[in-house]
Amino acid sequence: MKSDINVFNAIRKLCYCTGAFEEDRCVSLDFTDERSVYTGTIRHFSQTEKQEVLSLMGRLQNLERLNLKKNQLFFLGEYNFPNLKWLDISSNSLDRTPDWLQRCPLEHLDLGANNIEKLPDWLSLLPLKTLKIHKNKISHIPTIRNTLECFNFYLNSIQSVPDFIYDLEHLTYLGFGAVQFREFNGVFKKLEWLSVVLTQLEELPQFLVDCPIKGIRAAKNKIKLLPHNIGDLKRLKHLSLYSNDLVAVPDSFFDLNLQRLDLKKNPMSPSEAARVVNNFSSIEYFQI
Amino acid sequence: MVILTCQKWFNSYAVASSIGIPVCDIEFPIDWSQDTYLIVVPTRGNEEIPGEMEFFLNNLVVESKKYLICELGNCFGCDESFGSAKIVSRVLESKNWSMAGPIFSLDTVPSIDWNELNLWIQNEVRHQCV
Repeated sequence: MKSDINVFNAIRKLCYCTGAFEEDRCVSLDFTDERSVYTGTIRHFSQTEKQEVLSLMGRLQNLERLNLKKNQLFFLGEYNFPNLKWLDISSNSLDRTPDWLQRCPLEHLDLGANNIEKLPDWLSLLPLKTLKIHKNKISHIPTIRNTLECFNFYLNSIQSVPDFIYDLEHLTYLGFGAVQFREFNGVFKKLEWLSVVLTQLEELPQFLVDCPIKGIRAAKNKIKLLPHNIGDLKRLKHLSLYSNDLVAVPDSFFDLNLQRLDLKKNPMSPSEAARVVNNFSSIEYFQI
Repeated sequence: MVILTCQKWFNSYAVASSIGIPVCDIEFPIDWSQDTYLIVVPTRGNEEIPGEMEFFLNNLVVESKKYLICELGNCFGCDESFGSAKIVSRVLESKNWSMAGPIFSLDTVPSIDWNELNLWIQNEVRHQCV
């Protein structure tokens, strides 16, 4: 067990990283530094130097949390982390989902902003609570277990929104877009954040009024209608309806207690726009 | 003023070419005789810059110039920035470059917002060129 400390120190001699220990076990390793311009701490290493660091990392088999985002790894070899629950390998130019992940009890997996074309079927077996696969080239998403609470599949190559999302009863965050989509075919009851961008959606769905929603990002759709009782969304702080087809907002809109509002690029009349400006121009962020 | 961009970035190069100022490709030798440089750069992935720009910045030795940034990206509304300008700006400031005007974030998805671009050219770029 003492070897985890030795391995961690050996990694620290090669690069900046942070770790967390429980007794002598290294349970968390983080190769990012938000203070640095490019975030990833081994991003500008040569492939040989990266492999030397990752080889040492592979010896830390007690890891439960691993952050490798924005390191431009291009390839992730074979590892055995039987306790790994949290993994961020976003922005690494990876072209596949590493197979060894199926042997991890992953609850949080961020594969965003890579070049992945295919997701493995075993993904449906993981006890995931968070799955981020946005900005890849994925054409098919296997059914994900309904343990999921956060799901972002924005900007991929899928033809339509998968039906299984309506079975994800625990979802608190849902993000998708740049896909053929006109209307919701089911409801969500626990959503706190919704991001639906670049679709043909014409109405903001009524079910949102029954959700504890805090943020809605619904830019670049075809939205003409908002729920008549949208003002009942007392927790809503952040609303973007940038670039839609809104001519007017319902009267209850002015009951909202927003911090950020974007209504730019909607065909509102000058009088309707003035009504909105009068009510919201002093909030933290406002565009119309 | 000279524009710095890369021909490989289709939208950025189209935007740069439309401004009416000489354009330099960052993958080729740059005319460093100017006081002010306008950088036209897209945002990639999760608030990242293209590899060509990262390479250019990592190898930049010229100091103490003025700069403007036109960053391209996908506007979601309520955006303060798309991401690439923050990175470029931090690197340039570390080399004692100074910002000559506010960052301009140009929406290019699903198509380039030429109206916003023309407004910015009129209000900011032309002013810098006088």
